[in-house]
Amino acid sequence: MINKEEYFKQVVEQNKGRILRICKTYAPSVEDAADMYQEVLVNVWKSLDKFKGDSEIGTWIYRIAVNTSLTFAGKQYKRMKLNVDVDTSTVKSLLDDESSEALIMEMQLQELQLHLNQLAVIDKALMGLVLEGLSTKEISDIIGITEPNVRVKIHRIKDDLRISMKGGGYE
Amino acid sequence: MENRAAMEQSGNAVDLDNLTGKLQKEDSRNLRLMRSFKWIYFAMAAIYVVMIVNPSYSISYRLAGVCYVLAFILFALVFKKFHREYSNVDYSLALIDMLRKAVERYRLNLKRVLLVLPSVLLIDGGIVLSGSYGVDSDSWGDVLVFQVAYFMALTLSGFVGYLIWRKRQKPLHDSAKQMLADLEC
Repeated sequence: MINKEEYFKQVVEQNKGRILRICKTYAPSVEDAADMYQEVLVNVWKSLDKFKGDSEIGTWIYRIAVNTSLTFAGKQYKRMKLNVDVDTSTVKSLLDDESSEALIMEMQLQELQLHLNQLAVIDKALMGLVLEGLSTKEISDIIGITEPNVRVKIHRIKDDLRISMKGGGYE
Repeated sequence: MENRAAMEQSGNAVDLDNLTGKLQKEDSRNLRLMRSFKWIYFAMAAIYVVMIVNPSYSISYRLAGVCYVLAFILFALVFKKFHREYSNVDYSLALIDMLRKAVERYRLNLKRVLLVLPSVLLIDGGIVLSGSYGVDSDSWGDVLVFQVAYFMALTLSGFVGYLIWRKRQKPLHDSAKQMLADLEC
């Protein structure tokens, strides 16, 4: 029978990458990301007894990471940033039209990051999960809204991004 | 890329053995703290039971003892409830549920004040019945002065509590509420 300490270490080791990515995506600075990472681990520890296996451990970890990041943002609400430094294939999914290829260029990526950071915190959280490459079902499980609602929200955010990017000359 | 490397480094820098040790210590410290508070309140209640059962004390003094005992038991129960609420924040809930709970937890809640009120009134009654303002005394003017001072002190404490809430919890409440509104719209 595995004890809590060993189970915790096992869960953290298996999900270290995704926790680090989430922290890096939401934290305003590298120092804050490190603090956030530690806070996520503390909350994983606190919630570990409550994990009943109703959802995938990965989704469960995402929930804790997103909830902790947003609580962290609650403390430093105005400083919260969404740092786009991810796989370009997921970035492309934000603007799924023919012109997406051009977005991969460094300037456009910076422009995209600028617009992403003007979104409301919740929209940033949603886009953070989209950038992670999660499915609508997984996002729905993490956020707690229905799948159609997730799709509508993401569509709306993409539209807004597209409009603001066009304004910047990146049609 | 540099940021990612720095993050990976900071992730590696977290010594899991050290962290789990600290977390376990924190868990047992919280448990010890809770037990200590519970026993302090119950010990206080037990001490004041002496006031009730000692036949050499006057009726008003023994009634004061009843007030104190009830006040301490109520305090212990309310403390236990508040502690459970704050220590059981579940970060593994879906975001929308966690935000709803955060809005509820951090709002200025008059019901919580009402939960503490019986204990406060019982202590007031205990002081009046056992102190120099006792019902055996003729100095009802003193009782009135004490009441004014006691409730002014309570009002001041309430105001300080409000200021602390406004500084620490209101921003959390407002941001959780805003995020919830954004999610539900």
